[in-house]
Amino acid sequence: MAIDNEFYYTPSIVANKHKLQHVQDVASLVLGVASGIMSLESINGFVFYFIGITLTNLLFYIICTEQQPYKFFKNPLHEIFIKDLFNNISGYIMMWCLIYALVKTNS
Amino acid sequence: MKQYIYLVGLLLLLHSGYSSFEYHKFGIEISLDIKLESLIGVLLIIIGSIINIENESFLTIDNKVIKNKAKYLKFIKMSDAVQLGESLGVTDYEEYNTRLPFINI
Repeated sequence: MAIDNEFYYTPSIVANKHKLQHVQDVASLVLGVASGIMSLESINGFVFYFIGITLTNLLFYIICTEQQPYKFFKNPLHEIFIKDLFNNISGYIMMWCLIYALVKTNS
Repeated sequence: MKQYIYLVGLLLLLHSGYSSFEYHKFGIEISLDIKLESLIGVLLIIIGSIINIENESFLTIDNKVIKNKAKYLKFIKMSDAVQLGESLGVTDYEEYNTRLPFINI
């Protein structure tokens, strides 16, 4: 491996991370709403979350990095797809339970 | 324009949610179009959130609008990242450098 003597600009790294975080926050909450509306139960809901968040990350990767991901992230595949996979699951479960309960109130 | 994508997505989600509520009231299995409607709503909101992180453009002191070369994210390499500041004539730390006690008279 080549010696990494490249200088990085920390405010940009932080800004990119915040933008990715924003997209993932919105996506996880909205996916929770959708799974509540579809009244998914047990493992189906979690499968739906992982598929949905991975598709979101894929959209982010395609649209935002403009075919040159290494200019925006040090390790793009890991940082975008794997690192924050479980961070937003609590928000997802919250919206899932709330909307599920609302939709099923009168049944 | 950007905010309307959010609005349309939210309306779709609201409508499909209400339909799902009514279906459950009568104990009917929810149909495919409600699922599709909610999925389209989700897709619209996600696309809206991605579009909304676009970089803002800057106005120089000579009244020129300067845009970031990348549309959505910021370059992390020092050599790329400082180019915007150079064309603009300021750095990210301008706020601190131009504080009154710091000005070199």
